[in-house]
Amino acid sequence: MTDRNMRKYWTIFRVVLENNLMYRGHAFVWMLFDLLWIGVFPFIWFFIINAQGGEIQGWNNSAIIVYYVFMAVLSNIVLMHPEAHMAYEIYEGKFSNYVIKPHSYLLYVFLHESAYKMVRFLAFIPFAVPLIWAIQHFGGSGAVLPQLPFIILATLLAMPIFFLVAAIIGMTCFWLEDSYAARTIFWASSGLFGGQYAPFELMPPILNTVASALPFKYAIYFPLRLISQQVPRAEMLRGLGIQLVWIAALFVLSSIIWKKGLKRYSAVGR
Amino acid sequence: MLIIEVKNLTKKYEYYKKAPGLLASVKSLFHREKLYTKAVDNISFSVEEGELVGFLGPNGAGKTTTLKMLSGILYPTSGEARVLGYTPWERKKQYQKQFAIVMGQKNQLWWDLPAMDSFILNKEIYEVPDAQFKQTVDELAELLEIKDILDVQVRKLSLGQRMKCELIAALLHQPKVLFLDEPTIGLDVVSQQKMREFIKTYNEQKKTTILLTSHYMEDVEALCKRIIIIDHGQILYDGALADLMEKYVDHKVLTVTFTKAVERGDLEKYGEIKESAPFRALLHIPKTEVKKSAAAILTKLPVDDILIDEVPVEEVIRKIFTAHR
Amino acid sequence: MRRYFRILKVLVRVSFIRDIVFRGAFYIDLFHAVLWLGLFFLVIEVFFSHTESIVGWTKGNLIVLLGIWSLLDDLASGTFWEGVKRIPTLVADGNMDFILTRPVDSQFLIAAERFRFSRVIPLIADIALISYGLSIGSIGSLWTILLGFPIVIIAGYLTVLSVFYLLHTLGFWFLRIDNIWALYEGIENIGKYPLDVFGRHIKLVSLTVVPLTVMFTLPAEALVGFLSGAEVINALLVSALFLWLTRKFYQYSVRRYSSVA
Repeated sequence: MTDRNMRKYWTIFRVVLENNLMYRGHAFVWMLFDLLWIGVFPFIWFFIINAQGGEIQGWNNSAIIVYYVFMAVLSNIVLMHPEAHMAYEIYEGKFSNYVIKPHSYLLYVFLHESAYKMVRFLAFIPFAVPLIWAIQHFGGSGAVLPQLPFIILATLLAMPIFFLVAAIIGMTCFWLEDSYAARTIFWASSGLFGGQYAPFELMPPILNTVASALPFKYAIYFPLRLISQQVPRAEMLRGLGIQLVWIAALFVLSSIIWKKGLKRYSAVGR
Repeated sequence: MLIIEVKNLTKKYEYYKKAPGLLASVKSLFHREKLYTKAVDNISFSVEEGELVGFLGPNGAGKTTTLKMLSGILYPTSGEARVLGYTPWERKKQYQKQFAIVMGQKNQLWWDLPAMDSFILNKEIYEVPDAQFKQTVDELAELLEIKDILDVQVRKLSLGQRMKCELIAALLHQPKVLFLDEPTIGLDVVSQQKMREFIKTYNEQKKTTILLTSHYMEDVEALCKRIIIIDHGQILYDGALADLMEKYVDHKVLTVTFTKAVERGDLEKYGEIKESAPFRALLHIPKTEVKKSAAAILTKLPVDDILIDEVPVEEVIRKIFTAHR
Repeated sequence: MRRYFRILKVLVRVSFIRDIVFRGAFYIDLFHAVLWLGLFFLVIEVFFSHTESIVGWTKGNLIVLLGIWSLLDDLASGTFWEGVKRIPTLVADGNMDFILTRPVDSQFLIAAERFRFSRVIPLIADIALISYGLSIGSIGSLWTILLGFPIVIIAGYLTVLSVFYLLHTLGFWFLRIDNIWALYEGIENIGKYPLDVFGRHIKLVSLTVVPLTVMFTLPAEALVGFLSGAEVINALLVSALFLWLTRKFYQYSVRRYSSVA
C-alpha cells in the first residue's frame, strides 16, 4: 500500500468518524435498539433454565448471561452492516465515484463501517459497566480464561465473515430495484442461524444442521460459545478452521459477484 | 388602513460554534461554545392595505426571520407586531385563514401527486367553498398559464411550473396578506419575469397586501414602489424606491464613444472619469451639471455616440450595505 | 369537527391512490408478515420444547400475545406511523414551519398524512395467528372478551400512538435523530413477551412509565382469560395519562421550537 493510498484511506476514515460523532444520537439509538432486543432473551432463558433445574445441555444461568452480554458487545464492534449504505449508494448512483477512483470499494465500505462502529462502541461503554456487573453477579466466566487466545482469534475472524456476507447482500442492489427483501432475509437468518434467539444446544437439531452450512453460525455463535463455556480444544480448532474456510469462500464469492455486478451496472447505467 | 404594524421587533438566536477537524469533534462532545446572533435587531415599520413592499438585503440579513415572525412560525425575543389586528405568534385560526406564505425553493405540495390533489387538501384545511375553489383555481391557472399541468405529478414539473402551483395553493383561500420569501430564487429568466408579472397583477386586482423578500434587484425594481433595506437585522432604509435614488445618488453616468482618439486630459474637466480608453470613456457627472457637460462634450469633442444613464440601483444598494458595515 | 373529518377523507383518499400506484408494497408487507411471524412462531416453539409454561403463559397464550403484538404493530404502521415518523426530518429541513402556519391542529395533520392499506393483509395473518393460539391454549370468558377486550385493545392502540408520538416529539429537541423510530421498535420488541418474565421491578415500569403491558400484554390477557378488573382500570388510566402527556409535551416542544429555532 503506497503512502498516498494510506493517507487517502486515513482521510476517509477520519471524515466518516467526524460525521458519525456529529450523528452520535443515531449511533446511540441503534446501540439501544440492539441492546433491547438482545436483552430480552437472557430473561426468558433464565426462567426456562431454572424451570428445568438449573441447566440445559450444558447451558446454565451463568453461561447464558455471558453469552448474551457478549452478543451485545459483538453487535457494537464486530457485526457490521454495510448493506444499507451500499444499497443506498448503488441505487443513488453515488457509487460511481468509486468505480473511477483507484481504490477498492469494499475497503472504503469497511473503513466507513469501522468509523461508525467506533462511535457505536463509545455509546455502548456506559452500558458495559452494569453488564459486566451482571456477569460477575451470576458467577462470572473465569473458567474460560485459558481459552482467551482462541476467543480473540475467533472474534477477529468473525468480523470479515459477517462483513463479507453483508457486503454480498448489499451487492444484490446491482440487480434488484429494492434490496429490502434481501436485507430482511439476511437479518432474519443471522438472528436464527447465528444463534441469537438461542444457543444451538437449546434449539431443535435440524436448525443446527442447517446453520452449519451457513456462515452466520461462525460469525456470531462460535466466538460467543467460546466465551461462555469451556470447549474441547479439538472443537475450538475445528471451528477456527471452518471460519478460515468461510472467509476464503466469501472473499472469492464477493469478488465474483462484484465483477458481475459492476459489469451490469455500467451496462445499465444510472 | 394599517394591515401590518411592527414595533421594535428583535430576534436573538443562540448557536453552537463548531470548528472543523477530528480533535474539535471529540472536544465538542464535552464542551461547546455558545454564541448569540441578532437576526432581527429592533426593527419597526408599518404597511397599509394593498401595498406591495419589498424587503431587500443580502443573505442572512434577517428578511426570512422577519417573515417567519409575521407568519407566527417564530416568537420574537422582544417587541410587538400585529397583522390584520392579530399577534401572529398566537397562531389564532382566524388569523391563519387570512394569510399565506410561500417560500422559494421550498415545497408545500405533495411531490408524487398532481398539484390538484394538494389544492384539494388546502381547500378543506382553509374551508374554501366549492364554487369559490373552482373559480379561483381556473382564474389563477389561466393567469399563470398552467391549466394543463395541474394533473401532472409535481415532481415531473420544472421549478418554474412548481412555483406557480405553489402560488395557486397559497392563494386558494384568498388571503388578505401574502408573504413571499425569495419567490424567484433559482428560476430561469423567463419564469422570473412571469412570476413578477403575476404578483404585480394579482396585487393590483385583489388589493392583497404583499410582503416580498428578495436579494434580486430586478424583483424589487419591477414590483415595489416601496422598499425596506435590511442588513444584519437592521433597517437601513424604508421608503419609496424613487426617493432612495434621489437621496443616495447625486450623479449620473455618461458613456461616450468617439470617432477620433481623445486624451484623458481633455475629459477631466467635465466630471469624474471612471473608465477611459482612446475611443471610449465613462464619466460620473453631478446631476446638476450633466446637461451642461453633455452639451459641451458634444460640441467640443469628436463624439460618435453619447448615453446618459441612471446609476444602477444595485450599486446604490451596495453602497448602502458597505457603508453600514 | 366535520372539517377534520373532511380533511381526513382527503388524506385517506390520497394514501389509497399512492398505495394503488405502488402495488409492490402489498407484496413486501405480506412477505414481511410471513417472514417475521414465522420466525417468532419458530422461536416460541423452541422455548416450549423445554417447558410447558413461561411465567404462567402456555404456548397457545404466547402465540396469542405474538398475534396481538403484531396486530397492534400493523394497525399502528397502517395509520399514524409514517406520518409521525417524519417529525425529526420535518423539523430538520424546515418544512415543519409550513405545517405550523396552517389553521389545523398540527399534530393531527402530521399523524394523518399517510395511511397504508397494504397493512390490511398482514392483519389477516395476525388474526389467524391469534385464532390458532386461542384454539390450542386457554380462552377467556365471554365477559372478558366482549367487554374487557375492546376497552384494553383501544387503550393499547392509543398508548402505542402516544409512546410513538412522544418519542418522535424529541425531534424538536435533537437535530439528528431521524432514526428514533428504531428506539421505539427496540422498546416495542420487548412487548412480544410476557412482562412478568423480567421480574417485579421491570413489570412495574411496564405498567406505568414505559407502558408495554398496557400496549400489548393486557389485550392478549383479555383474550386468553388472565385479565383482571384492576388491569382494565389501569389500562384506562395509563392510556388517558399518556395521551395527555403526549399532547402537553408536543405543545411545549412547539413553543420551544418557535422561541429558540
